[in-house]
Amino acid sequence: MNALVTIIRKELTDLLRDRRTVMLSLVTGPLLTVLMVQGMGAVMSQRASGVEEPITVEAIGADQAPNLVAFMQSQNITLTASKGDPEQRVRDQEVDLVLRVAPDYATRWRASQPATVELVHDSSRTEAAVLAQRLAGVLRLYGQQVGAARLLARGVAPSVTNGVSISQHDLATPTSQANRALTFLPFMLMMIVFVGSIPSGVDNTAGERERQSLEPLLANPVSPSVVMSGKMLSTSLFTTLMLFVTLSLLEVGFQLSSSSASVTVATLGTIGLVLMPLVLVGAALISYLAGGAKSVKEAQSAAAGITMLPMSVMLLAMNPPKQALWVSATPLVSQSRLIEKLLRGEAPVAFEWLLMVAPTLAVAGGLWWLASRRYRDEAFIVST
Amino acid sequence: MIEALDLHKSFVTKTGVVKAARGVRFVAPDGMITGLLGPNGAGKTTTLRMLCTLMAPDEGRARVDGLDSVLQQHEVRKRLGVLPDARGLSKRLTARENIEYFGRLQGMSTPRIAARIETLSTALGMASILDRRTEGFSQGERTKTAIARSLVHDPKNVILDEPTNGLDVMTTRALRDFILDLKAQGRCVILSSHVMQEVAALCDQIVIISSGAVVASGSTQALTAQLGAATLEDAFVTAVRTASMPLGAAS
Repeated sequence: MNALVTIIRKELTDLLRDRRTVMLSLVTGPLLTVLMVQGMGAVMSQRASGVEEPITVEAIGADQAPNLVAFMQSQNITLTASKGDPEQRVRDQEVDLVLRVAPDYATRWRASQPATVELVHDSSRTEAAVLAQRLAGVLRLYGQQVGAARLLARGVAPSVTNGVSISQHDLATPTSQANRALTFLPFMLMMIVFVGSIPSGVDNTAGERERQSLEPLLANPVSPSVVMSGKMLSTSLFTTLMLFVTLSLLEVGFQLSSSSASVTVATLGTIGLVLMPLVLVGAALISYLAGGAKSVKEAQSAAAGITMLPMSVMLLAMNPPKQALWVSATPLVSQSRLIEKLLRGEAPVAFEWLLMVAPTLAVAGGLWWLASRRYRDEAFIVST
Repeated sequence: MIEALDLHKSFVTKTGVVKAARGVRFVAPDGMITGLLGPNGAGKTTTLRMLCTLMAPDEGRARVDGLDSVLQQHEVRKRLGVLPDARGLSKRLTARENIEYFGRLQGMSTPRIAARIETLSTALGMASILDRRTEGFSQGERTKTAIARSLVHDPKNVILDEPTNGLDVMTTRALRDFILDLKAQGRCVILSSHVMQEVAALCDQIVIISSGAVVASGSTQALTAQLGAATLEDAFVTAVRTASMPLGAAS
């Protein structure tokens, strides 16, 4: 026990004196993460509110449809005359969208026939797609109103045209709605957990070997598993520190920013707890990978593979598998789901906690065993 | 006392099995310096690693103060101070912190560690570097720190693998005096070196290893007489050549 504490203390002292790693892990990394979360939040909320913003849209032949122009105006959309060939202007990305009123609009309108309004845009451009959706919605609404007025004029109740009436019953709470902007938060926090363990994990295993200090260290009356555990735990502690620095800065960011997304201190703390078993997995994994590397350089290439793990979670998040039990028990997926739940403002039940903690700790234990085995292998210890 | 009792060790490499030690046998008594000589690849380092418990012999046994290096590994490690060929330090820690680290791992108390560091620092002349971070240390400063680190627990038995390798004349001299002090304190010292004058000047007993086995042993005088050589270097060359000849060709 004493030896374990000695090793942890030494490794942490050593690491915290490495100014570059400390800056990168405890300042730059967390700050970048917070900026990314805030940036994504800003984009998401802009998209959500973009529907109502007053905008100006170029149009051709609008003078044929004064009623339409007036209706559009009432929906915060101002139509201006287009300055050239609409197709060309959209292709050249000079405008996102041009509205074209067909030449026979007025004639068909007077004959009570469907009059054509064309939306010229490039749907592969996100902004244009959002705009086109909004305009299409407004135009549909206008068409319905005009149609209803025509039916009324002919003595028919407009409601007969509605076979089904759709009513939305949205169960989203204000919290869950606002925190949709935080979809990527679990992924980014997992990134921190895995990437954060790399500098420490590489330095205290492969670095120790490269410095030629592993052999004298293991000649002390301390079991190799204890040495390995000490290194692994110091890496875990450092990653934990990085994680909580990030979470604190996130909270500061939520307080300062005007974005609607916000997470309470308690929820962020709980999220930190959810990630704890993963911190152990990350530390054990890097200790195992870097522990088997012949040099720091080799260890770093091996470590790059680690970042693929959170990536795979993002893929799962974008394309969620069915709610099978094994999926809920899979490390990374289980944490990601639990965090999503916490962000929605829900409280996970004990069974969910168990599903998250037990399998993940088992994986961490397995990796710890593999890493320790490396330190018990004499050919491994002395090879340089 | 350190005993090598018929030590065997083989390694499996890509090109086949390499027998690094095939029956190494010698005894290094207390109060004496035993020199380990041998050409590169003779099996010296492998032998030292078996003696200091980092490797288990395939056959035979290594004993320190009568304790088995495999069965009583931790006990042996407490009685043994080793300066291996690999002697890297933690460069972001000071010399003192590097030494303290090993003292703690040896299970020593803080005051005892402090006292030992004081003693070793005086003996090795490292007072001025003690509280400096080891990054940027000269070769000599690094070696001194590594030696102090390996002897912090005041071990009765000391194994030094080429301690003066790469050191300047002044540091080498100081280190030789330090090694003689260790002997005077009644410790058992095993010294491996390539420098013949050093071995001749320091060692009471010399063990020559070639191709994984002891080919000659004894004091400098005994070896030169036995092999009909004028100097230890000549004796060493004769012993190694004789051993590497095919059987029967020696006569």
